[in-house]
Amino acid sequence: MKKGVMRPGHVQIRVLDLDEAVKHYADLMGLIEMDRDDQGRVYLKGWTEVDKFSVVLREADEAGMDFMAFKVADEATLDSLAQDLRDYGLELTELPAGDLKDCGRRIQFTAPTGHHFELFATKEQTGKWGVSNRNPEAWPRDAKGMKATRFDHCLLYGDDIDGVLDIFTNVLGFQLVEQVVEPDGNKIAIFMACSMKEHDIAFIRQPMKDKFHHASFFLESWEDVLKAGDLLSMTDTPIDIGPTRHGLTHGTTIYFFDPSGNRCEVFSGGDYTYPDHPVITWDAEQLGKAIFYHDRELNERFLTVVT
Amino acid sequence: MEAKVTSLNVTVVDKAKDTEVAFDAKSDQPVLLSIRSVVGSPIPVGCKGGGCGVCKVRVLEGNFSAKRMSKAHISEQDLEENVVLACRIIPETDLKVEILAETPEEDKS
Repeated sequence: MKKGVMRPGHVQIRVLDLDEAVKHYADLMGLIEMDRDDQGRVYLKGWTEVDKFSVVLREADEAGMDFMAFKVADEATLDSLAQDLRDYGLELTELPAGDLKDCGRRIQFTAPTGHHFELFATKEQTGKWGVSNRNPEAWPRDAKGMKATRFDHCLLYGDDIDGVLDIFTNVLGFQLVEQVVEPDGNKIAIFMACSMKEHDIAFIRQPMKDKFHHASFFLESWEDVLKAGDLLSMTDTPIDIGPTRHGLTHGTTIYFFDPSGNRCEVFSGGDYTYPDHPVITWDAEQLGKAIFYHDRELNERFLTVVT
Repeated sequence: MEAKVTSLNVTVVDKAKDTEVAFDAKSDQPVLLSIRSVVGSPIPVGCKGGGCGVCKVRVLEGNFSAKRMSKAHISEQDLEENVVLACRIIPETDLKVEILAETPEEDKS
């Protein structure tokens, strides 16, 4: 049942070299640099996103994800969800408005897999970049590189994904859309949505805490995914795998690495979800086909390379 | 004037497989990036960005400069002991390196 969580709001990614990272996310992927703050963080977004930013880059001495946030319907919803998380037994950290530039207060918690998530209700809306709200043109003519349209989801690796599933579905109102299960019913992957998408957040069970597999960005078409691959070759950017299709979600995809080793995905298409849709289940023995529909086997990097 | 790019020799010692493999590495880029094919690479290839720790090696002989590496995988002490990530070290001389396989438990983050 929906509880007022609307969509992925932002992800803060740690990078080893800020200038190299900005070139990757802005010049190559086509995210728009929107602002910087006095901590040196860089704020970016895809051109279709109405809020001011969805990606925050922070220079640090290790790569990975600081936190991922979801935007909720309004401030009252934020208060009620915070209470629900407290009642569940989670410790919350409240970050004041302005801690992230032009973003309202945020409620942060640590999931059983060690990942940090936050909820917020308010962020400055600068509107879609390069197109108006009134009689809008189809797309901005000066978007760069892959022209990524929006931050779409993250896939994270961690141990207690059953604990995560309980919190996201029962407290935050997400829907379990797809899963990969072992013969004994043990879940090894969960894809969850707070929207009509096939996933807004996904987890794969691995014996580790707080690991970042990738942040994903939406493209309009399969041809855009192919051209993203072209751009990766033109810039000699390390490709993980693709272009190909996923079995899970059925999206078309390519994976690659940012200059600090964080994995990125751009994808297009994919299935949709209504609240009455039954859970889609993949058997663990079909994991290769579930992840990479054509190769039908995993490349080792997909399971072992995380930040 | 730009420094001339030279070709240097990198020898990879793999104690687990009891092998020594050598390849040519350019002097203007990280060692791992001189290996063009992932299949059959003498050093495990991961993210190529200093973030994942898969290509961890100990430099046994030779000089190099290093780009920033994730502290989750390379500590200050590692650096002092020439334990580095092959995707972030740029060779200044011929190198001899030993593969250090990292297990998840060793992750320092």
